[in-house]
Amino acid sequence: MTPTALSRQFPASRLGWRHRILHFMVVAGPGLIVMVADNDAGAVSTYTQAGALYGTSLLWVLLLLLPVTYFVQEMVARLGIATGQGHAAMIYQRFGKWWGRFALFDLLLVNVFTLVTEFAAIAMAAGRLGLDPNLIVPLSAVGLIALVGTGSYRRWERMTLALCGLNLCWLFLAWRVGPDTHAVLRDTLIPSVPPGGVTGSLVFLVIAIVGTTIAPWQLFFQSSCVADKRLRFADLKAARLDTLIGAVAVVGFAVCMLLVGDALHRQGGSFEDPAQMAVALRPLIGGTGSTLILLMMCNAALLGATAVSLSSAWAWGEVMGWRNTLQAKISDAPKFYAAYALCVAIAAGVVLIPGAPLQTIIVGVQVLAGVMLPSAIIFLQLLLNDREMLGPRFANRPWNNWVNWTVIGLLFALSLVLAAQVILPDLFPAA
Amino acid sequence: MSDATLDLRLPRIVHPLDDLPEEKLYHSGLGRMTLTPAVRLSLFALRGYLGLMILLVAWRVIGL
Repeated sequence: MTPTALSRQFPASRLGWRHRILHFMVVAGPGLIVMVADNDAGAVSTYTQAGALYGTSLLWVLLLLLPVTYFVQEMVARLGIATGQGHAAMIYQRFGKWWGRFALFDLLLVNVFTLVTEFAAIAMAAGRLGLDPNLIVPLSAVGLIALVGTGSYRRWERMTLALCGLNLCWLFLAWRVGPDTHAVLRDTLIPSVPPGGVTGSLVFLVIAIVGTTIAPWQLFFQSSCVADKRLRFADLKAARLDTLIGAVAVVGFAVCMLLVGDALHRQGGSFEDPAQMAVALRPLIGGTGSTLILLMMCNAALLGATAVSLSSAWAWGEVMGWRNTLQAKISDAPKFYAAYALCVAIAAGVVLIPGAPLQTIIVGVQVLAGVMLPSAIIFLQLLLNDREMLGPRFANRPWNNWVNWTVIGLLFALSLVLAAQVILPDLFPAA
Repeated sequence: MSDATLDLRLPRIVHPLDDLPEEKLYHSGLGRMTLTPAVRLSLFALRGYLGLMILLVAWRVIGL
């Protein structure tokens, strides 16, 4: 009997619990990676800044984003499993060349800027660790290229999951700063506006938190990853669980980052960036804790960089028709690997340019991601309502659509608030 | 029933990459999506949104 015949004869739903666990273990990966990689360098900066400026008062925003991020990514996984194709391929095939190339161009543009922020964080953390950024940044770029170039999806997935596992250190750091448990519970469960009211910087930070938690590259990454791993229809339940665990993990780690920032807030310190925060917290958490924050910054940046670069390379390959799988050797999929290496090299190169406007790029990324997200997510929603292609089993149900149109409406509203703030800088009072 | 007997009666777990490819729901014969009124409206709204964002960028560039 062939393996396929076996897996079809015994669908996962009819397996015992031991087999279900084993089945989950072979299916898990894309959901966990896409979620934990979302806590990249930009996310570390945004969440710690939220804690440093407003204490624990924005924790409720993170709790609200937990179901939102799960619902969006569950759709992505479902699309990937049903079609065996990535999001970019589906936009290209079902909406035509113009929209396909537009989606790819948007993705590549925002991804290159995002990658610059990842390498900027590595340079920043290396500097604080007493290492030479001119050495560490190229080394990181080489390491990131080596990570994908093994010709084995499984090897890449295992190494990336190990990087995801290192995020558990955030739990230790959050415990180490000794958060006010009562305030944490209150601010998580009861939505409130921080002292000082609604200001321009608060609105911008909330938009940044939303934009960081649901990023455009995630929509492209998970469907391509699911397609590359060749997940089967019978794997859908396990893929959903993988995504749910990932969503809980990403929000849990984000809470920990916010609590570390909150420690600086309680000390009355000022926040410039996470690397400066790590040094400022040294009297509270000791040299080891401070170094750990800097290392976690590097880990977040590396994890984000591999995921963001892969989302670009997969999407590029899907639209151009190149062979694009991590199962292929470099010589068998040269354009796919070249696209990945090019993204990494450009971003690392920009960071090494003396006097490069990194701060402008970091702010620009948040705006670009905010602008692009609604367009990427609307294609996802339309594709998941494509009953002609997906049929009743994989297409959205009415309650899915209610949830998703609400999320899309919210994202459009936040983008328009961002736009209004750019046109009218005095729309909200200054902090 | 011993565990060994149980295992023999259940399928072994096959990693997706070791399994034979299954036929997916998308095939090239499907072509472009049918443009229902809801799809048309969504794409129209998206065009409007993108136009607004381009104007915004232009506003900022002129302002600078």
